[in-house]
Amino acid sequence: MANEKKQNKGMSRREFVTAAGITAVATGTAGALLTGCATVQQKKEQPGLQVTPTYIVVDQSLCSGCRICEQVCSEFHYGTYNPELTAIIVERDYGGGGDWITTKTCHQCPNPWCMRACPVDAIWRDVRTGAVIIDEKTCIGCEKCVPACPFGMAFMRPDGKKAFKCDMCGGDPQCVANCPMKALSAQPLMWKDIELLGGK
Amino acid sequence: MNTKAYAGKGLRIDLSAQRVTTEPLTDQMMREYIGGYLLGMKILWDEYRPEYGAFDPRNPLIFCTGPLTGTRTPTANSLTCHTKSPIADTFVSGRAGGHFGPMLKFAGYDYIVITGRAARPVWIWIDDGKVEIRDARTLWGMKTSEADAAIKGIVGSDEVETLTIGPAGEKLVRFATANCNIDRAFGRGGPGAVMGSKNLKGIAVRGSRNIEIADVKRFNAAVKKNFKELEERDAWSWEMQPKVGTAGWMEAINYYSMLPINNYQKTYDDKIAGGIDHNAYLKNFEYRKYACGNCALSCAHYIPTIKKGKYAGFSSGTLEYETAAGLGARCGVGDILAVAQANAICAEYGIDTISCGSTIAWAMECFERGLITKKDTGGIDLTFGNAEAMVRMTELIGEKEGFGVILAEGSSRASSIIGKGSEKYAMVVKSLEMSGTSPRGSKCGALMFAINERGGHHMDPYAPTIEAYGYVIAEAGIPEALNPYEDGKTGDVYKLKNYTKLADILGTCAFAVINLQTLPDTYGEQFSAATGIELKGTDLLKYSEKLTTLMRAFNAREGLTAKDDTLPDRFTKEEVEVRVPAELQKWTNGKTSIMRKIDLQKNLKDYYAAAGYDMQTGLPSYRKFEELGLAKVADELKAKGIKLV
Repeated sequence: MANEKKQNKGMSRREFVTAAGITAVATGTAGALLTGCATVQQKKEQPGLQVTPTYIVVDQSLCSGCRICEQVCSEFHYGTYNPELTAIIVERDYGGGGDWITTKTCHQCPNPWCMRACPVDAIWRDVRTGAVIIDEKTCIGCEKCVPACPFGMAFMRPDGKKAFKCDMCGGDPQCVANCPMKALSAQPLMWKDIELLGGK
Repeated sequence: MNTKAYAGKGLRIDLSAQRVTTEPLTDQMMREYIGGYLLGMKILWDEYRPEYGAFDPRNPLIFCTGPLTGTRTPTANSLTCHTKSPIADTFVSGRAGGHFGPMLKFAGYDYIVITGRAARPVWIWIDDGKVEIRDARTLWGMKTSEADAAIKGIVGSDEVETLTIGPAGEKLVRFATANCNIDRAFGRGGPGAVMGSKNLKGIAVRGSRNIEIADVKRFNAAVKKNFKELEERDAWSWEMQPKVGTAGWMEAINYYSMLPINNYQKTYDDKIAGGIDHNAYLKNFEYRKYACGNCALSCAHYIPTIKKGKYAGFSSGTLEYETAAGLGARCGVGDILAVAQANAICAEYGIDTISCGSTIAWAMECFERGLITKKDTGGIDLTFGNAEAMVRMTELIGEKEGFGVILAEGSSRASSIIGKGSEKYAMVVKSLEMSGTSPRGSKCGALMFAINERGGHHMDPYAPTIEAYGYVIAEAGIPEALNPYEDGKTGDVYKLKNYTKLADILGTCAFAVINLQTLPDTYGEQFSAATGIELKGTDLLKYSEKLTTLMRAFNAREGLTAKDDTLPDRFTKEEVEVRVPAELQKWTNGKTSIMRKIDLQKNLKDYYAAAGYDMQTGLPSYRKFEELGLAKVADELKAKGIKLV
């Protein structure tokens, strides 16, 4: 059953990004530029990382699948609640032939595939927080970063106009702060060559 | 429309005509009926007529969310269900957790009303405003987990929430459940059978719409304050101390002499309780916790496949206290593995574990008293403590085979079929089986069954908290704990009821008020910030009163009176020993054990006085109806010849 499910790709962005991975779907639609909700403070020309970059690590054995992290993410960035507007994903299947809860987060890769896939240089590393961020003003909504991410952690907004991903909330990840099970933590990226490959 | 937090729309599905329509949830309805139980009961009151009956296609099946459902308020994950009950003389009004409720709102709907009967089995697919009635012939006959997996396979996504019935619902077992996420169920009163009667196998939903908040900053602060209050009292970890969810209460409830041992013949039994309590749980199971949406309590569990012993080879969902009390203590079974297996059968077939355990316990008592024999049971030795017989009977009820055909009618109807005086062993109130709290250890516990509008249920309110367990909730008007063993002075139960109904209206879990004691004003602030409708805690408590009054009115229209607020004779006539725990011995002059029967009339009198109910009709005055904005309801009752003071 699990295989059958995986074969039939649904319309949900979660399924799409999870399974797609490799298949590139380029639509190339240039959406209108939106303002507001900007999460980017840094200009890309700023050199040198100011902090040790961190990413969010999940202790899967503690996670209960309550989805508070998703709610918090959606609230912090967009002032609303929407399961398709979060950059942390609680995948779950209760009971039906197996029980698993897998919470997925952005790895803030040293050499990010999403960054390399972006045709307009809208994705770069925020030197202040070390997070790989998408500048929504520059983003043209071409969706190239979405299938490029091997972890399925770059997303399109439900309106399809802009991409988004985990930005570490500007250095204080809200999902970590609000996880009631203390399953989430921000851990330093263990890559020596981070500056070499990531900083832009 | 300025009101936020609601989706602002309702969904109407007529299965007979295969027609789907939407309707706006008006601002006026939001202000007058808030949501959850109250909104659901309002729709049920308007659209159900006493002449219909539960299995009539015109009986509406209503699923509602509350205004806070899907927001970040702690435990805001409710979906409520309302319909005429096939087993009780009353109605179904239940809630289920899981993730279905929030997802329904993300899909853009506050409620669903389903009427009619499909010509062949169907399931409903709600995908972000697109609603389809789909063929379910291939799903018919599937167990709940199979149906869940099949639906997810058909739509090609795991990210949908399902609500399904099992074979028991299809076969109209009167206490069949409708299950959210497989094992979070609408348990009491048989909504699964109503779904079955409509040829409706399940509902699946997926959504990607916003739940807007009127004032995000204020709401965020209110939620943080709520969490902080709970943390300060250490409510999250304290309440589920043994860390096995509600099953951890078995030891305490045995200690307080409130276990329904052998169909309520005894109030405690250390051996039986010891076999099904949290120690047995931890010894026998490896389990994984999981939580309903927005909840830090995570009282639900998943028990992976059992590998050893007589009952190897099954996996189980959450083993709740009520399940262990129903299928375990009540049947005299002190074997947690047998109880867990019966629990798994109940989840898969879609059966209410409380009514199921209660009905089997009734049959066991009848068997021991010679009212039914092996000829009736098909050779099964239905004696108290026979674990295998209990598991086998559960299966037969699910399949509706053999003696299970009779038991599937519930203990009230089954006892009228058997006759011979077996009626007095059926532990039912308003034809619904009582749940697993023996009334003798707590007078308020006794009262809560009698006054419950749904029937013998323990959640409206869970009253032993304010005396035996010694909770004090000054903000809800309950300044001190009561004496659990002296009848009378039960007026505080009405205050507790109004307080606990807050959760049902707003869309949070009952644990948020009963156990975690989220205060009315904390809710008022969150509600106001989320919706933009300014209400204080005291205003919200008025809506609780409105809900109770509407429920009572529904029952009055069904022909129920104050006479139906009663208990089985076992509790009012038979004296049974109650062991008094040390901290309650101040009430018994140091005696460690007393003999107890309930003087229900005394308790009822005080409760009615506090609520302002008439001793004949069990209803409040016409003026009260008017004051609560229910004048039309009162007029309809008057037109039916029901006198209101």
